[in-house]
Amino acid sequence: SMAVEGTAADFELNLTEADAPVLDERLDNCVIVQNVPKVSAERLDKLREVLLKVFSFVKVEQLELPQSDEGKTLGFAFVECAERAQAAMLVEKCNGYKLDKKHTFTVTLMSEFNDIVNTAEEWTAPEEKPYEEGDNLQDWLLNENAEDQLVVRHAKMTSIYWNKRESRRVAEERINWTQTYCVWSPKGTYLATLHKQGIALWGGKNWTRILRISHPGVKMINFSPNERYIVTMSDEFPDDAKDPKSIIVWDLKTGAKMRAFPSLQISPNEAGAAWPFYKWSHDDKYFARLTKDAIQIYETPSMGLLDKKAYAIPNIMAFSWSPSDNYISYWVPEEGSRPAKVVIMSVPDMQEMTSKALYSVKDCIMTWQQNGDHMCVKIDRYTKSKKQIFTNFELFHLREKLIPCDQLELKTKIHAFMWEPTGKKFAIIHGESPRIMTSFYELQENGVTLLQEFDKVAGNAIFWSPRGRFCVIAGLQIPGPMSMGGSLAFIDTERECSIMTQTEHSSCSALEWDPSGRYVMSVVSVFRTSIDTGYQVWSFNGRLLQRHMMEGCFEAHWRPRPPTLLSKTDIKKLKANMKEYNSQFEAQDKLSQTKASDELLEQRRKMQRSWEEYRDRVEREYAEMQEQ
Amino acid sequence: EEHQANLKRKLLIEERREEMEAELIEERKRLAAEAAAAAEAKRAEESARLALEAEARERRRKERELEEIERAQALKKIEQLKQTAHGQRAFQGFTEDELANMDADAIMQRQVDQLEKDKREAQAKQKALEKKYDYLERAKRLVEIPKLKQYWID
Amino acid sequence: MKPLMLNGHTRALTQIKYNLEGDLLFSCAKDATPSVWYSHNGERLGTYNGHTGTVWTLDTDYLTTTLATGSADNSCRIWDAETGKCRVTIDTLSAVRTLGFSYDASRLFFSTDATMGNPCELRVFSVSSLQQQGGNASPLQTITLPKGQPKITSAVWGPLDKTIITGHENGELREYDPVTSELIRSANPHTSNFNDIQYSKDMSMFITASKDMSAKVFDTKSFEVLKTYKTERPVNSAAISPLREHVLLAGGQDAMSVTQTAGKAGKFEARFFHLVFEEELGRVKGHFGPINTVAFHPSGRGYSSGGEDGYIRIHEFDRSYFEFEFDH
Repeated sequence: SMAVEGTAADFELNLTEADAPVLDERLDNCVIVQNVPKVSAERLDKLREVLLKVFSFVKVEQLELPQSDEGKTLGFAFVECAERAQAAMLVEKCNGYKLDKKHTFTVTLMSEFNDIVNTAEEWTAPEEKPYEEGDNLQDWLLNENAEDQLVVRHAKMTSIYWNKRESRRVAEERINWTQTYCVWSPKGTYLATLHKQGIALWGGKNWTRILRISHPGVKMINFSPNERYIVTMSDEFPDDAKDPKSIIVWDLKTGAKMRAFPSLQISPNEAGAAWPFYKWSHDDKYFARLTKDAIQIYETPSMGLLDKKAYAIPNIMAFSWSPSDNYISYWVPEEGSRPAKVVIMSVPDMQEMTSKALYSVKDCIMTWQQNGDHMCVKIDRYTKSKKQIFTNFELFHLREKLIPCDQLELKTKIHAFMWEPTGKKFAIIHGESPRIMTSFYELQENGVTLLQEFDKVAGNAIFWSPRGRFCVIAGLQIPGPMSMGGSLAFIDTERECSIMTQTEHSSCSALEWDPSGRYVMSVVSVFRTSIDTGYQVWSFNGRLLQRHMMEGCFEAHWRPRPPTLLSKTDIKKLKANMKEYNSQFEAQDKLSQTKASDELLEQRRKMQRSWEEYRDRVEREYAEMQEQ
Repeated sequence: EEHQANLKRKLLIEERREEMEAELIEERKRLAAEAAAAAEAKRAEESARLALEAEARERRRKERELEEIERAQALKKIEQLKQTAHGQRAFQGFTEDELANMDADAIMQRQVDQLEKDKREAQAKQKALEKKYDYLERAKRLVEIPKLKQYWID
Repeated sequence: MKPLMLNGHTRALTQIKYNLEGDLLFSCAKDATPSVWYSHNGERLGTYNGHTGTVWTLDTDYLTTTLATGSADNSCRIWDAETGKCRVTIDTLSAVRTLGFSYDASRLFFSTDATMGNPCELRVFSVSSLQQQGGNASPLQTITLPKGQPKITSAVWGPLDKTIITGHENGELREYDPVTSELIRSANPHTSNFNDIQYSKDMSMFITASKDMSAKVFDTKSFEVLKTYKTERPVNSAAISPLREHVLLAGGQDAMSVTQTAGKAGKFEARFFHLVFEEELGRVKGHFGPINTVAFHPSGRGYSSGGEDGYIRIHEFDRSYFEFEFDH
């Protein structure tokens, strides 16, 4: 500590406002916990012990339990963490923590708590800029170097970067841009930020606010695939059948409220409980929701129930839209002597296009191939003795007459299945831990063909390049027993399938391909670990290109792109001209490389020169000393 | 008197004879013992020689065995390598005899060299692949830009 | 090349050092038995038995005849390097943290920890009087750091054996005169604990490793910071290549914050930087815990590292290491 000299009088004279202590400095590492039990002074230590146990996954520097004059605690606590990221983690993990029946914690960052306390009655979005006519919302598509963007949320900052091959450049960066998280729209036009009072959509060259939607307490959002509508969900309203406010469908062009729905009370395990509750058809024409024994299909833009009634399907367990056509697949379990059934039907005429009877079914998972060419049903079945479970796959071919179906049966446990987005291949991770392996199959003329089984490629998630062919098998750090350490296997599925690179990004918990299929991003999130959070960019074949450690990194997502405007003939023509392009890009790269490296080289040269001077001097001095 | 003297002499002669006989027996015993010791020594020498020879034989046998094992390992290694693509390339142009005479270190060195070469080739191939995909994407985007602008006007 | 893995120690390594020729590698660890190894094949020649606690530090003279070790058992011992016989034991009041033979091997210094009311001391002995009079020989000089001053955590002899350079727990660097015990100068290059100080081959420069996540190269004569290398981890040890313009940094999180590191290969990395450009050249993974100590082979054709995992890894560089050059 600093020694203080002089008298109190000196002090008073010298003090100015600027010298006043800054109280806010460490607010970022502090959280306020509400709904803490109120206890008397005797039980204070016990409460402190309990709380420290609950918060034991972070390093608590200080736990403050304010007391009344009588010594009773006031029902809230201040927690100071060692780091900002840990405070964020505390909020993430303990907000909504049920200590007992009566006490469910509300955990807020101190800094945000102050924001809330200081909030004006009327909500104003941060950094409001007027929307300028002509601010093209697709401006980012005009990047002549074919760069893509990504958003990273870290600590209080939301950053949008241009991804260059081996570096990045900030496109926009704002503090407290969102209160919870942010989401790209499906074609990348908008960045949606969530706030206490609603959502805001941002876009254009200057990241102006395009639209504001007021829906207090918004928790979840879901865009329609063509960005015409958005559905928002809040759990702040007790539902009033006449004026529901839980789930609202909005028109994105006008911001108009199109229709509201009550939040059907569904227990988390029940069918249809997973967000999004309302699933969109590929063309934004319909959105549908699973209810008991029925699917409700709504039409746009009228927002009315198709045929004015729910489509009854007794015992329906799950449904899924085709990504390319207005087809719905669904399944119903066995009932008495009636077998279980998988059905594909067309909308709006509700014609059954195909159906398949299945026996001894425990569970089904339906996965559409991205082009809608194929649909896979993974079926967990009981053996005859009902003691064991085996899996088989029914693979429907939508583009062929009568929708034929191939079968594949596997005796081992299945951990993941994923279609190649643009082709006929699929990958399966299977086996009993610790002997987890990965197999690649292809739908060929003569049925399902095993391309390759890699017994040394283990993982828990499959990520295909959006352009097909290349695939990453990742062992992500995820909640649950299947968690792994961050292993990454980059696989080329051409010909016999080969491993291009086997590597790891320690503790990475998420992985995303860029929209061009050239890059892969692996993310270490503060939700899983506090060490070395950030993201890395790899080439599609597993070469590490960029490494960014960012304190308190929550998540990172590539900005999606709309489908290309190029026709097949355009691409054919372009491919024929690749020679020309190749030499053009080669020259361009060389130039920009030279430009970028010139600066670096100049700096190195300077360092080398001054180093050589230094060494010369040292050697001269040494020689002189020897002479003496 | 004379008789007494004769008796005495006789007794003496008897004694002498007994003495001589005893000496003779002793002498024979000594000779026999010597002979036995000599034989024993000879036998020991012989068995030591045999043991040495056996040891040498054993050593030679072990050496041969080791050699054989090494050769077998070398052959096995070559056989194994022949199954792999890089192994086939590494031993291209070698006759069976030449291969048979290579020792394990040489095989290892060839393998290491071939693996390094393969690695370099694979890296070059991957780099070329990266370039190909990058250039294709960039070409597509360049062609798309005027189309996007036209699309917005329409 | 595959490294040699030496697993003779049962606990975390604290220091490794090559002898002048580089044919031997000396090591000490928290397991109380300093060891000596053939550096070319990793065979252990022997151990130096006698300490009863963690051995923090060691040094040999330039002829590799004598080894000195300093331990948390409150003693400094001098050994016959070849036979492993303990020649002298000097008892202290607290742990011996760092020591060194003067270049001419005529003197030895060691420093002790400030614990249990005992101050941090820097003592200088005549090696010959130690050998004649044993542990009772009186030091040539004792420099006692006043209470409250940061203790010495790493130290080396200065140029021509005229001074002793000390690194302290608060990141302070000092230079003492071992004859007059005068503090010649001090600087504050680091913000946290000094973990290591190692010379360049010609001793015109030295590199420091600090808990503040950086390593720095100094001009020995002027104490001027010539270069700084930044990482995201505490740097436990650093060395300057005797052959190329490279430096080697190693470290890791505190043993406390290391979570699960099970797996086929250890993740803890030694990192190479370009001496002049301060840019990273590459990393070598392998240890299962933080790396506590590194040393270049005197030829510069390899290096060794000692880890919290109890392993020593001896590495020989492959061709690509010698071929790589930065453009400039």
